Amino acid sequence: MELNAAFRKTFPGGATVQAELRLDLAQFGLTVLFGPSGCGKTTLLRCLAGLETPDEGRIEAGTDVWFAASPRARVPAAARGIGLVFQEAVLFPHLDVTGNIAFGLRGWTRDARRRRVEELVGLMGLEGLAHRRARTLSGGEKQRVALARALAPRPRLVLLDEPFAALDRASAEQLRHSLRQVLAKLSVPAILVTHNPVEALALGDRMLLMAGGRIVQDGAPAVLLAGLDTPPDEDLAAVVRTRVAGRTEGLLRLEAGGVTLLAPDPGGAFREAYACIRGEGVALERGPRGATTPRNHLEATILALEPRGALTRVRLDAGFPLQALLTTWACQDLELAVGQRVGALVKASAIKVVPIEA
Amino acid sequence: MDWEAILLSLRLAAASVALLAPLGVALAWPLAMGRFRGKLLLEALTSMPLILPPTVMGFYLIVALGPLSPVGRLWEHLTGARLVFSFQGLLLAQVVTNLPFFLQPLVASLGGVDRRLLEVASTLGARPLGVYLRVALPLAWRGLLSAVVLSFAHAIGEFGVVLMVGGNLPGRTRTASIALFDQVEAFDLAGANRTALLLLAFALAVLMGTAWLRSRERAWN
Repeated sequence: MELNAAFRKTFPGGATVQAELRLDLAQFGLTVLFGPSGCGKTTLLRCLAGLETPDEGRIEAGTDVWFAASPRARVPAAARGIGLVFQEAVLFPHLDVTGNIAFGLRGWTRDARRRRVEELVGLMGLEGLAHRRARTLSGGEKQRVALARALAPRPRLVLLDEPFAALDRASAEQLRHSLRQVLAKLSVPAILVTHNPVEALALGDRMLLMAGGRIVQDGAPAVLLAGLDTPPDEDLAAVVRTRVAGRTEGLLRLEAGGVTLLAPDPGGAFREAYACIRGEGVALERGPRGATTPRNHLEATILALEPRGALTRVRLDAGFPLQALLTTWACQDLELAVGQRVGALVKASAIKVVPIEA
Repeated sequence: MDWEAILLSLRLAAASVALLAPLGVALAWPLAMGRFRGKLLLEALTSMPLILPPTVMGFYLIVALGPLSPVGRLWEHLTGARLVFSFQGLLLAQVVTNLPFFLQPLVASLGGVDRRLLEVASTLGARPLGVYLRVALPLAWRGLLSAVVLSFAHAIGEFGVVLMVGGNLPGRTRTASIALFDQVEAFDLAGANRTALLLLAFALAVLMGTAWLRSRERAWN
């Protein structure tokens, strides 16, 4: 079965969201919907879920027509079988954890309902919380319950609208880790909205890039992120697919494009990984190599200089595409020019390693 | 103290609330959440008793329930009795008059329920009625309780409409507030004072109770 959507929605202010996408609903796959805030990601999700009605187009799931502009057809959200998780876990405050998870199980037998709730409590690691009220749970626990609640009625598709954004770093990391496993185990396809590139790489099988209310690119997360003219995130200097060449003292030796990078080892047995380099961790130098602390010293060629007010984006070829963000004043000081050879210093601590599962 | 009148007031108020509750619960949802043609008119119509002089309300109710009206004729055909100047007629008048006192706290409370909860409920398969009864109404229970208490209290105190529609028949339509009027007319000031104090204490208790409920509601959300 396939989800097939092509629709347009215009808001009273004039903002328009236009989307065309196909998604396999028959098997697990995690599609990342990626783009800056305000680009229409949430509207796209809401139209799919049936919480917003498009102005034009069609949305079909297999042979079911969920929405058609003419002749007019609209299946309400309640009949679409889509699970939804918001940025902040909105749990029913008058129900306990069990009541929340079982909310969508009306019409199931008592026994089936109990078994399903138990299964999800186990999968989401909610043991011992079954009779707690929402307001007594931590942010991470709440979001787990929200996810369990969305998954309980066996939805055809789960929509996750930045589910980690409101969590502290540790809880987000934990939930991110279990999310993919749980979805794969239940074999539920999902669309995950995010503007975090590391999240997109770590979780996504496929990425839809949105900008200005449209899906502008569709492909593998690493390919799209590495090939972006302007990084989606000011903070991201590069995304490189690398091979693990060795491990020493908590550091990984990663090889890519004939270059070796040292980066913190996140642990685990993997042979390949994406190295996501944070922009603030890249510095440039000219002339002889000085006594510097950064572990990674790369020879690079300047491809372009893009001044943006006080800052200048320097695009480099370091064996892989790399960007540095410098003050315009520093660029002038270093007398940088296109075609020049420079040294790019990359702090090991500025590299986030995202393992690629074998 | 005219205990007969006080008991009648309590009986009348309780019966009004029993009729108001299903009507109010049914009307509150579209008023709180709906987007439909005629919503403004419905809002205005259901709020009318707040603004109109009770005598105007009373006059139209007599016209609507009187022996020449369709409702009055049907009632007379079914029961052989007249609707105006009867307990039943008074009850209908009370329901109409007290509707806004039931609707307003409930609609306000429903309006305060987080919309995302309603959206999540609908993605979990709940139809609009299910969303209302399983999520919105339980979360607005303080508003519902305020609605019951306020409309009950107002039904106890209603004077103008009761006098117009019910007249002043001891044991049938003479309520506490009308008994008070009679006591003043008969210069029984001591008796009037006792009745008035009782009604005053009751109103004070009710208002403090609903204010407390409302403050707790903010804490919940």
